[in-house]
Amino acid sequence: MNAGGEGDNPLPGPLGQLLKMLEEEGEALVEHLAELRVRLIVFAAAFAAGMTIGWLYSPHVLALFQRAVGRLIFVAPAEALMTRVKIASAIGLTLALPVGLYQAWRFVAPALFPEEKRLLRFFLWAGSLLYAGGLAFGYWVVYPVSLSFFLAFGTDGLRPAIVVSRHLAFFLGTTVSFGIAFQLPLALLLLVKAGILTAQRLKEVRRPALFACVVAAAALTPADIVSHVLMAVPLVLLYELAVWLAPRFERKSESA
Amino acid sequence: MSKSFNLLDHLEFVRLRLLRAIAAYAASAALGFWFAPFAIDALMVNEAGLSNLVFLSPTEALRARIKLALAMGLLLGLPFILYQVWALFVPAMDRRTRRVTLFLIPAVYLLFVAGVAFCLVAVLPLAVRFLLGFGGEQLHQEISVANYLSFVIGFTLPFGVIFELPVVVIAFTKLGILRPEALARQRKYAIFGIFVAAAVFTPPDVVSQVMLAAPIVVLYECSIILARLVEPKRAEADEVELEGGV
Repeated sequence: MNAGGEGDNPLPGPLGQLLKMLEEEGEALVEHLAELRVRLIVFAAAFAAGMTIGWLYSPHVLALFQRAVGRLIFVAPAEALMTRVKIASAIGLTLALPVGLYQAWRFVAPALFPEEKRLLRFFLWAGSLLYAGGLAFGYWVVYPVSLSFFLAFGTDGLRPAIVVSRHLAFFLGTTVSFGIAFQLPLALLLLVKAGILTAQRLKEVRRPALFACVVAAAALTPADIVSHVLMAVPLVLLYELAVWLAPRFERKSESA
Repeated sequence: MSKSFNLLDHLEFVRLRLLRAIAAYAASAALGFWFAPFAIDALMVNEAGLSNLVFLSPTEALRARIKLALAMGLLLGLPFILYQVWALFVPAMDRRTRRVTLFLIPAVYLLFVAGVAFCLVAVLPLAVRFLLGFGGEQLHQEISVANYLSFVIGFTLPFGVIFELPVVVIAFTKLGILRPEALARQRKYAIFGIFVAAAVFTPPDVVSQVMLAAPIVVLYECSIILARLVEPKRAEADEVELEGGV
């Protein structure tokens, strides 16, 4: 009956194809959805567990902040609570991210060709390592350097009393944004792999691209010159890394 | 010709009512401005560990005072504003409706004030103590006056509004939209919904949730009783209307 109905009134284009596929492979689809549901629940559970750990750990983070700035204050009634919730969520998300990526991988992998699998595996590992590298660079270099740079502008009569929510924004701006910005070479290599960019083209546009790196660094960091420079330099290096790696990612079949 | 004259006349009337309402609000806000420093002292919850506030920018103290004056202006001027709104609709009402709606004004106002007072006396200290408890050795408390007043106003106003529940229920019963039996039948779900809403609107601790939910449940029960008192009259009125129509 369904097939007949479909034949009577075929929807044009991809929507029709989707409907046809739904009818032909309905059971398989339901199975997939059930699997997706389980994987999402696993991720949500990991996030909840990570957030609990983050909540228990958040006083230590506040102590860390307080040692870094001297005097840490909260200026709105709910700010202390909200800051702890934000710290807990950030820690929870960080802890749950590997679980989420693994679940996504397990969900997608069966549908991929070996070649694609290899590529995805490379991108996942490289992305995670670059993200961790960006975080580490931000945490151990950018955050302390830019913070001490700014606090040095205080004097005996001008003492820091840093508002905790703003300090948290500053902290995330100097760490998480580096983890994200460090994904630049992967984004470029993905475009090369897709045939949108070529290694040759990457070399040709080097000058405007480096300028774009500097501009993007200004946009991604808190409005200060120190973390701006500290981001622009690694972005330029990462662009060069992408230029160096790009020939290996070019499409062989099309050039042949 | 006479129609346009009437319209102009009516607009003139609306303008008068609007100006009087604005004047009443302005006067009570001015009173609130004068009274604001005392009010700020009174609003600080000493027993919750809040004994001083700071201002973080040069203009903040004045801005906070104006904000508080506007809120207090609403609290003080509400009966006058309500009266002007009522007077605006007087020409459209018959004598009985006029009398009933005029009595609604003090009811609305008293319920609003009761809600605000309940929040300030019973719930606000709990909430402030709960929230300030997250500060500590590493995180010093320097609550700024504008932030604190925004918090207090944003926390108190919903109480004043929610306490209007009986008036809303009576109005809907009179209009025939609600029936007291339906309210009584849905009690289980209503109480559950009230507790869920109270959990959403208060800081995440059980005490302030119950502090908000309990009075609403009481108001809900009062509404049912009042609606039962109101309803037979509505039926009579319908009959009278029907007879009059026939």
